[in-house]
Amino acid sequence: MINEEFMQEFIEEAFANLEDYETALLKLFKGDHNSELLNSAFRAVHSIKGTAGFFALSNIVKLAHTMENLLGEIRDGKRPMSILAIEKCLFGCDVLRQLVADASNSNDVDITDTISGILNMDADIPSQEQLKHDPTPQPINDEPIVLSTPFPGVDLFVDLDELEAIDSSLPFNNVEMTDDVDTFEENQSELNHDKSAKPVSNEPKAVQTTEESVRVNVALLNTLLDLAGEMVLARNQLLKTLESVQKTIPGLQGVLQNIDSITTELQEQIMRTRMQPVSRVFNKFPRILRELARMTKKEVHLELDGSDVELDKSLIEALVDPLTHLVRNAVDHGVELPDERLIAGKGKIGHLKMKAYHEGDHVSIDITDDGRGIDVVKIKQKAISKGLIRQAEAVHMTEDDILQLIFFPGFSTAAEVSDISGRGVGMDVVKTNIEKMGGTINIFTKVGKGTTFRLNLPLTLAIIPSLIVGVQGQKFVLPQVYLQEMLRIKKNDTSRKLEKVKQAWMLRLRGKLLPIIHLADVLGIRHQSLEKDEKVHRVLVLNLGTRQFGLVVDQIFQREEILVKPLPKYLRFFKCYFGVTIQGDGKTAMILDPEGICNTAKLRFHEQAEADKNIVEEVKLDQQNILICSAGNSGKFGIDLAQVSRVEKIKSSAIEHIGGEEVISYRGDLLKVIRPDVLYPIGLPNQLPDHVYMVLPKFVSCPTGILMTNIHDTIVSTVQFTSDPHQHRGMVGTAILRNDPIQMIDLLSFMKHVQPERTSMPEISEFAYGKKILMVEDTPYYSRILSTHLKEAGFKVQLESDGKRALKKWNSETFDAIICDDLLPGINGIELLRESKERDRNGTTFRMLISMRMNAQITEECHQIGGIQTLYKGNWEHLFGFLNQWFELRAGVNHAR
Amino acid sequence: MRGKVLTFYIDDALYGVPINTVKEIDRQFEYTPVPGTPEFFVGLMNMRGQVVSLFDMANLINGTRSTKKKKLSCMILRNSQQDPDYLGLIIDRPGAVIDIDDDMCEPCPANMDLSDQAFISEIVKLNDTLLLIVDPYKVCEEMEQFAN
Repeated sequence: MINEEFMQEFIEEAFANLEDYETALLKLFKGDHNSELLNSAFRAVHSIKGTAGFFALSNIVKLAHTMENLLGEIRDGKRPMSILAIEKCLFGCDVLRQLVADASNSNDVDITDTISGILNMDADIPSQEQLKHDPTPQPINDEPIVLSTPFPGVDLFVDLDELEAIDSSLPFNNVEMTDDVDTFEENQSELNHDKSAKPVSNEPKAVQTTEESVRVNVALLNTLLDLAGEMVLARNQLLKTLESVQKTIPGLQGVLQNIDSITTELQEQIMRTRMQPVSRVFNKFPRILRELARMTKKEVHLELDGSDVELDKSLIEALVDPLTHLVRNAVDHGVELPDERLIAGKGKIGHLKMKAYHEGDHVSIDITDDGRGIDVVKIKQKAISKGLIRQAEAVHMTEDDILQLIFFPGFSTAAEVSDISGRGVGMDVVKTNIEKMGGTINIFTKVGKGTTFRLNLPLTLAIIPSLIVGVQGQKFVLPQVYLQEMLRIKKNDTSRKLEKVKQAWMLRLRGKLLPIIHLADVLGIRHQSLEKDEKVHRVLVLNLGTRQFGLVVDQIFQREEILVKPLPKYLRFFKCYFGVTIQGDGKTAMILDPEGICNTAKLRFHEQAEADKNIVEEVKLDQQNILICSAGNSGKFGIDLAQVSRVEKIKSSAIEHIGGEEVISYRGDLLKVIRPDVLYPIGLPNQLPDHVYMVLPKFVSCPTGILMTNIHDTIVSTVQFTSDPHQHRGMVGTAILRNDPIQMIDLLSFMKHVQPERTSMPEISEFAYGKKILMVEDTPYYSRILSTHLKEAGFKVQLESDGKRALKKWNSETFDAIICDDLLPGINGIELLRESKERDRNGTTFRMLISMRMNAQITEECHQIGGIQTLYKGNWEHLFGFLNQWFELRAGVNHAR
Repeated sequence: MRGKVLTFYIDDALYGVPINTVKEIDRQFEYTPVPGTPEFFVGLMNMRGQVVSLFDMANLINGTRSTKKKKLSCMILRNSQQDPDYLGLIIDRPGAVIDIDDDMCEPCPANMDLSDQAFISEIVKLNDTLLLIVDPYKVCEEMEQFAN
């Protein structure tokens, strides 16, 4: 049994499509040869075919298919676009229209002649006369179907097509039209009845229905809405102006009151024109649910409640996808298989309820299932194993917080990915979509009992709650969804004050530093507004996902529900704004876009990246083998053993003085002793202990040793540098290892400073000088040390620690070389290099993968991508040789040309 | 071009736009400036519930600023289905409606600066003066250039 309502929608849609089709063909007929016209005609029949197939209207499908083929052939140039061909298409259109008009009986009409008529290009179109006398089998009616005379239904439907209000796809139980629909349905049943009883009459029925409603353009309705709003403003002004004289003019008060109430009523009614019942979306679900139940082999009963609750048209449209997703989830994950249900002591049949209802100034929609519920513990484990949260965090999370995790991108608890759900995409999209509408989503769940998802939606999309703020006397609108809290920072309050580091202002908020910017500065109204000596700073704490910042404004006015108007196209290049609104006083005000403000103020958030990194880093960050040593009272030094060729213990008496230099004879050569105090103020004792240590660096041309008095340990660890910016020459930075501050020495840099002539590092070639390198490395030690040396050597280096961001940068700028680590947050190095190839088809860039775990598999992978060099990270000093060679070679190629 | 042209004055020079592009001329208008936008963008105005973007033609054409002058007029252009945003031009005062014909029109002569030509689509040789036909829709490009 075909759902009547769906059928109606199909018929309306098909008529609209046929109209498009006809218009396009008629234009072609007039000689307007345009492939777009053909395409639009093609699309029109195609969509009729598609939907008709859905209802198993085989004749309509057949005919539409034939027409589609014909058009396709014309489009592909297999058939000439002759007048005859177009006439045939038009003829097909007429027949199709008649079939569609009485769609439910269309399968009983014989259309073989029509189809062969269309297909047979040589023959003329079967004349309407011929058709008329064609004996067409008609089981309901012995009267042959007279194709040249439209069915009574045709007129009826055409009328309805004209009268259906607002939207062509409105279902017929629309509130405004209820009366007509009743009449219509009566007529329809009467009509069906008629058909079986007596010959079809030509008298159009239900003509009276046309008077009740008219089709109105949505744009016109919007204009009316605007005007009604203006009317309200004008009324307010009028009332205010006449307030003082109200009593002096007899009768004025009554008139004003009248105008007042009429205006309010007018606005309310016009608002209503955009409202549509939730049944518009709800009615799609019985079908969807049947399909789902069949696919999952579950039995689910659907209950719909509150179908007549009305929402703004645009909201209704935007609800389809989120609701579908929630229903799918409920059936796939929520409701158990019949057997499981029986074991759990529930009925075999699962229940799903969708309920819409008004609550305060918004509408709520509940999607409730009586399935297995959401297991909070399971979610927690899953989130930890997926690295979304850390174990330590999970302990402090409330049940609600944990439930919110299912809205994280990439989260799915389904053990297996099914056709229906479980890919982990979706819930985050649902949440985003609902929030985009200005709504929220809540979850209520009980293990074993079921789950309810509650969507809270505003009545209309165009009105958003917001805060009016002021800067330099001008008002701006801030959408309230972004607002987390408002703070008043008083001038003399020592417990809470704005603090300044370099040029940046910040505020301590619950133990974290919150970046603070002033709206006036961002918008360019003033400069350095925060420097001004204000008694009170008003800080709005804004939340953008995980990012948070404080926006300072001069004034905070009231909260207000504002009507959003889209930004004029002239302003769309100005990212700080999101829209315009017209305020109560009739002036326009700009709606602020925190995202744009964030970008304009160049706030670079790494919180998220940092959080991501922390999770991943524990696994991914490379570890260094570090020699911990000291010289005198130096404090501890750390040296990467990858830079050390040997450590020798020697007697201090073996140190000789030759030509003002300290040397030791070492393996038949002279080893030059360098005391670290040449570079660092460490105060080495004059009297050395009996035994000292020589640290022999790599990359020296003749034996050199750095003198250390103590060797404490070697540690394998990830070096995380402290933020201490103070750096000695030859140092990479300070790290905390085993609770000790360790000054990390970079032996190469050290040697360059102390004994440049002994350093065996190749000079950078003139061809490589000044080349631009994208260095992608997340391990702090290597990223520091490599970028420092590359920069010192004369390369221009851009550093990136995240694979995805690196790729973005790579695609937006031009680089001469890319060097990346293999394990990276975002996407890994090999992927990054593979992607980077896209921009480098002729292989002009130097591309290299550096890794701590260089093995055959990695080199093989790189080989397969092609053009990628590989280097063991411990030997990173060879990088310069590689770079020199590459750029010299390229220069050579160019010379040859 | 041929047809009716609505003329207006900016800094005492005569300009014109085809009359069918004009919706209305307001002598009283209130607007709200938008921070961060170029000088030639005056602000937004509420025209009976519709938002109109106002541009200072004097600034665009001559580099002067007309918002400091008194008694200005605002010429609001028609919108269309494709381009629903209303555009308003600040002018010194409106002139008259005149008929022009193709043979009265010429493109900008060779010695005119390219930047001066930006908003002038044609020059009409009237008996006593020259009338410059303005193409106001170029402002969109100007805004984009400014933003970048």
